[in-house]
Amino acid sequence: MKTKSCSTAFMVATSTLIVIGAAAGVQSGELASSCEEPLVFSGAAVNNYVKPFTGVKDPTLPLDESGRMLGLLVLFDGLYSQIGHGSLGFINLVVDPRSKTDCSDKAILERVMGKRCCAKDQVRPGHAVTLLSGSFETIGDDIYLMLKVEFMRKNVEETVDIPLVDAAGENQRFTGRLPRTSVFLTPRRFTRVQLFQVADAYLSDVRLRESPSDSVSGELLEGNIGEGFSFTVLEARDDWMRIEPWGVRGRNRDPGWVKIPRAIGQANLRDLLPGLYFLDATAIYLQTVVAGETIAPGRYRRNLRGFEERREQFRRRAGKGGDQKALGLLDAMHGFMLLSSAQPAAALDQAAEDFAQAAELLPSNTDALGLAAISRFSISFRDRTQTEEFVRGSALPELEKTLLRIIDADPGDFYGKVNFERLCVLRQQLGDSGWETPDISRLRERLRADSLLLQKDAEPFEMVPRMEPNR
Amino acid sequence: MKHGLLWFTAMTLAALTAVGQPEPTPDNELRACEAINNTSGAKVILSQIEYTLSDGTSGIMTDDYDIGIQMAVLQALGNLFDSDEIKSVLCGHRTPKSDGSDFDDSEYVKVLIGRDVLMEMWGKIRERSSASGPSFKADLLIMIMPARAYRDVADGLDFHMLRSTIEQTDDVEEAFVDIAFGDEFEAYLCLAQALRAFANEEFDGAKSYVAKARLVWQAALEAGRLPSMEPTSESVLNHILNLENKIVEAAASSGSYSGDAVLVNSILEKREP
Repeated sequence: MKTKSCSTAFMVATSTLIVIGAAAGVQSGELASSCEEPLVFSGAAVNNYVKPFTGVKDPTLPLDESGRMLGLLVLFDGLYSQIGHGSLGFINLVVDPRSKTDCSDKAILERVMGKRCCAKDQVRPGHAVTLLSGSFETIGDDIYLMLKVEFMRKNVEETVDIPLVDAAGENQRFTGRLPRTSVFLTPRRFTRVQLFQVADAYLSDVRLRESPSDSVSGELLEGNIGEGFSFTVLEARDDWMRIEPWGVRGRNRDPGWVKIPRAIGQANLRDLLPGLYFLDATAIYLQTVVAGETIAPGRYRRNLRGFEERREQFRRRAGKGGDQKALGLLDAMHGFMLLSSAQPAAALDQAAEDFAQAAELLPSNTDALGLAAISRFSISFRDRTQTEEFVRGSALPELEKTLLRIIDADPGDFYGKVNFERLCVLRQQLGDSGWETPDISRLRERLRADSLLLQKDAEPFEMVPRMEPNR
Repeated sequence: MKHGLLWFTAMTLAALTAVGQPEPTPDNELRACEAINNTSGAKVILSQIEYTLSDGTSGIMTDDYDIGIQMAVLQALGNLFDSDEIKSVLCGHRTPKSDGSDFDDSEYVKVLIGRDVLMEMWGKIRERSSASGPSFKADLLIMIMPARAYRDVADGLDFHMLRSTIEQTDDVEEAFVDIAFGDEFEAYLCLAQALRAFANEEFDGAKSYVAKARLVWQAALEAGRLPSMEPTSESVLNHILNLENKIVEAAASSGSYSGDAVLVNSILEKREP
């Protein structure tokens, strides 16, 4: 460890507010971002918030230097991760532990979504946020940290249609929901020395240069960070990024190039906190689903590849407990990304593998069980050779049983009920007989009478009427 | 997170808090942890983990071990309940007896239930010497408080106390922390919630939690992920299935139940008698 630069980095790390923005179309304005009035880059597809970590023993105590430094490093790690540019915002929230304002995760998300006063702007409908928070404790030279990642899109539920394809290309569908939108990752332990080494690698000698070349001297950035600092990423090229810096009162210098520090290879925050790979992958998933059908094929492929790389990195380092649940969630997200491609039917087999994996890692999660069951059924339906044989086979009763078990285990599971009704309609269309007992009819009536069900989605009861009996 | 023997050794040296405490009666036990009174809402109590080294030295685990297990419990609670509505409370000086007999006192259990205690965990670690070096045996005890309190509601289903034993480990503190990362911990929490809801005649909530406990337990049993325990993992599964039936039967005979559980279970039973 280089003592001098480490201490410099440490000073930087303990300075006040850091705001890093990477949003196309960010104009200017007040960039201080307290939890009471959080900053929103409304042009960004995904706004990523980092909330100050809180102590396990006493959440009201202010963070020590290590805790503050960790928050800063997580923010810079997001910048260096190069998961995209032009549509990401990174915001470091400030929370005064003595303030009586509600700064819970829920309150912050409601503010930036415009459901509660007084964010400086609002996330646009369909756009997304991630919120990273954590529980932190230092004991002697050891640091313990547990990260929590939560995410959501404005006015959009994380669902996917799983197609039922017949020979005529007519599509019917089931609908599945992402198993979770928050996860507590496995706690990690590391030392202060390790943290300082990372700080040294991340924050020393970060310069803003006129061109992407080491031979251009450039201006040291770290001295400006304490003033309140933000920037928009304009372009990424190899390990260089062109950024437009912003100060608390707006743009304060010309755009320039920043190089990802080479020393990160030796002291990477991700070796201490593998959950950052999970956060990256989540941001890529969100960017992809926010873009939806408008996404260019090249960008879709890059996003999918980037997601898979992060998922693999996380898988290699995942611990027990929460990390396994996060892995299950990533598997489900991957399936969602595949099914959001231009040809979802072609991606069904791989998506079904993802969903099966997710269900294994999330055994009590009814959404994960539902995704696995309906994707497996959809493949059986697609691969049938004779409809009569298919109707006599085990696929229909097996799906019925799973959906009933889902309704049983989670009476509030809207999609379990919708899919059950869709299955009943499908059986009628296929000419299946003998399955609709008086109890099943009663249950269907009860589910139909569920006002929430009818209000939220009338469509499942208007299935495509015509189906070819055979492939 | 591989901490290993070195951490354990350093930790025990730092944690040589003498075991010189008042006689462990239920009253003293409650007084020994003010946090039970001071922490509002549902809670999981993390009580004393006592260790005995091969030279006879004994003490209780503190500081870094406590934080390690508390964080592990916090992540389990957060992932299961999706919020921080259930808290974990450190009670390093509470010393329930290893046979669980403290909880034979129904008044004492009633007080704990009144303070919204869902579960209590405590245990012992013993060091053993062998030719290949020291190894440890760890016993973790878990009291599912609503299962103890509502034995009548659960019709005598006797699975309120569970004992997990980790034999011959050289990484004993990790083994303890791992319990909170395991499927069985999730199932215990679901069972505690199910019984609490059952006692309040919230049948849908009770059914939902017990069904989740079953799903987790079955998956873990099939995958061989459960540790050695008393009662056996197979008998715990039977208890879970029995409890599930009792909840449906009680809902059916309550006269006021309006949910779908009775009908859905009737269909499932007829489909696969």
